[in-house]
Amino acid sequence: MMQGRDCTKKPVESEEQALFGVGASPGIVTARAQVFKRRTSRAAWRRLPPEMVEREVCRFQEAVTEAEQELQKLRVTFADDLSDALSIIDSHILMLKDRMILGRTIEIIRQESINAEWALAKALGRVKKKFETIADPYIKQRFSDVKYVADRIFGLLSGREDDVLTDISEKVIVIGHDFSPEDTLHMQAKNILGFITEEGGVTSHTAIVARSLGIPAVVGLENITCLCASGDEIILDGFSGRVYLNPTPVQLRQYREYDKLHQSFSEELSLYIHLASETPDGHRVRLAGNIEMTDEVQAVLRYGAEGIGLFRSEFDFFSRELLPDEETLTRTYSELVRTLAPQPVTIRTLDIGGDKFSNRLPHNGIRLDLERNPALGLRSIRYSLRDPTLFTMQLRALLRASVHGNLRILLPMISSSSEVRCAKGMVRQIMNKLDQEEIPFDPEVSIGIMIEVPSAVILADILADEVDFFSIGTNDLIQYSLAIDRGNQYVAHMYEPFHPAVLRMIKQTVAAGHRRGIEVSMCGEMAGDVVSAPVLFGLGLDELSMRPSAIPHVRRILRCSEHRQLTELGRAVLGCSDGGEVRNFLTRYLPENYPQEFCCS
Amino acid sequence: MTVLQKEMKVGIHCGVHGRVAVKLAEIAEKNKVDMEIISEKEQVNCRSILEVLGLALVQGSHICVRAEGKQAAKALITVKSLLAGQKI
Repeated sequence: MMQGRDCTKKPVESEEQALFGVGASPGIVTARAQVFKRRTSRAAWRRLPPEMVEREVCRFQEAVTEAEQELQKLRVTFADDLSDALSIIDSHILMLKDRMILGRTIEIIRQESINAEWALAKALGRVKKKFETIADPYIKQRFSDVKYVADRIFGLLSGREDDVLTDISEKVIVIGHDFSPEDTLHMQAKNILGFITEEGGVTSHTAIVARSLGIPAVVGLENITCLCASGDEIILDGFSGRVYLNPTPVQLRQYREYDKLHQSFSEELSLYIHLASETPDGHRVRLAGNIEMTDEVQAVLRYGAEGIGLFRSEFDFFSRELLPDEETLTRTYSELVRTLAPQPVTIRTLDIGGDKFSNRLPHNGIRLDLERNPALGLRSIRYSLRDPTLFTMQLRALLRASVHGNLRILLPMISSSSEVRCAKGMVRQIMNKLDQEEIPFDPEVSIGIMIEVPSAVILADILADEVDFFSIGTNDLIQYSLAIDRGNQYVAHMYEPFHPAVLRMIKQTVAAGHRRGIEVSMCGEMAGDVVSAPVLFGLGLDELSMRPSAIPHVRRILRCSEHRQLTELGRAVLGCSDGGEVRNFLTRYLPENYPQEFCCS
Repeated sequence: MTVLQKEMKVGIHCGVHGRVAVKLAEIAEKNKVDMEIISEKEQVNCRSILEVLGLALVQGSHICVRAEGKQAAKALITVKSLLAGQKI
């Protein structure tokens, strides 16, 4: 199996012992494990005689005060220059004293004459219920913070010795059901090399603190506390989320080498951030970034992207209670366009439906979740054309933003030229209206279409007359042309980006675009894959748009290529009869022509 | 005692999450006001970050903020810039 030399490479051959979690904080460490079993010893229910009730209230208040002091101390000791950690601890201190915890628990102790532990558990249950009804995943996840806080009080009430991590004196990887952000801060002071948890996700506060401290971590690895015993040797790969239990000496050596390689490799790659995207013989390909939220613009700039090749505009529509208004959208789009100017910013109009169905748009009576076959249903441009009010608002916002730089409007899922004409007709009408209202816009703004439905490939020469650029969306193009649902476990293995039919469709689209003098980009997952990059360059694409962090590596591959050699490669893969043949060919071709990038493992 | 009330719209991209809830509690504390958020669902006290988080306010949510205390006006102005996404 051939792989790129970056993190996609699996350094350890045998996957048998590999466990897969979620890489929450990058880095690779090898050490012995220290396992903390989940403490299930919750205090029992106890009814109090009337004279004991106030004493119980006092006992609870003391535990809360002590917990607060612990957190305050932690805040002073560890969190000085970590603003993320600081605000997390502050929120925990406030939660401790929150009336839903403190006040409510005391109320329950008094009303029901029961012990503090039980009362606290009851109060917590109510908070949990409330958070369960919250739809926003970020806010919902804050319940895990309430749990950390309650656990601290439970611990103090039951007279725990001290923090779980106190006894550790050697460099280990700690493993537990879950660790709080505070535990994570302690880990740094104790030289703990990394941690693995059963719970949690990338956006949990524990993961945020781990990243800001640089402690490698894998989270969400179910049952790890049962699978692994203290003293087991472990490799923890915080990049990929892999964990190896008791690796062989050979595996250990491979991983250490890989780690070293990886470090020097990423340093080397960073040199390519500021270089031009061109071959030594002057063939240029624009390397741009795919983003979903405006916050990601920093990453786009950091990795040296030459523009945004795909801004998915859905987030603004579904991240809030009400649909956004024209002003909000205009602001978002203008900011993006202005920040990147003079480089192009490609904004795709609303692409809902399919796997992204939403019933947040109830105003027109359409129930997308009732569709029997959503991938072939009312999605993307079809939806937009059916809901002209919403589409007009988005187009107005886009046109208004166009004066601030180089905006390109991208219409998704086009399957016939009538859709393009219909959308362009709307754009013209809106332009006239804006003119009347004396609102400025760029009358020459580029309008392009996604090529992701086979009919659009076949009609590419006709469509090219209607638009200013093409952008190939490989994910859907592969799904629709091979009739493969990637989410279906029985056929997912047949999803093959190197299927000759896919490669020929890419070539056909590029050829049709170039004959009419328009640019052809690609913005699917395939565009950011180092193995397919040389092939895509060879097929003549003008722009590849990918996750920003992939840009330096893809740029380096381009800079090690010659245009003639790329064209020949393109021709060679187009002659293959199936995906396997393309891969076999590349297994020989890539290490020979890019010895620096590809090695066999 | 001054009691002021102001309609506001949440402009912060990711809504009223942990950090913003902490700031709201701080504003109430700093200005020594009793401050409440009145949403469609319910009325909560800003000193309880769990209640505030429980409102699940996302970008675009409309709320009414009510402050009681000498520095009510100042508190409301600060809340307004906080919810507009400005550094305070």
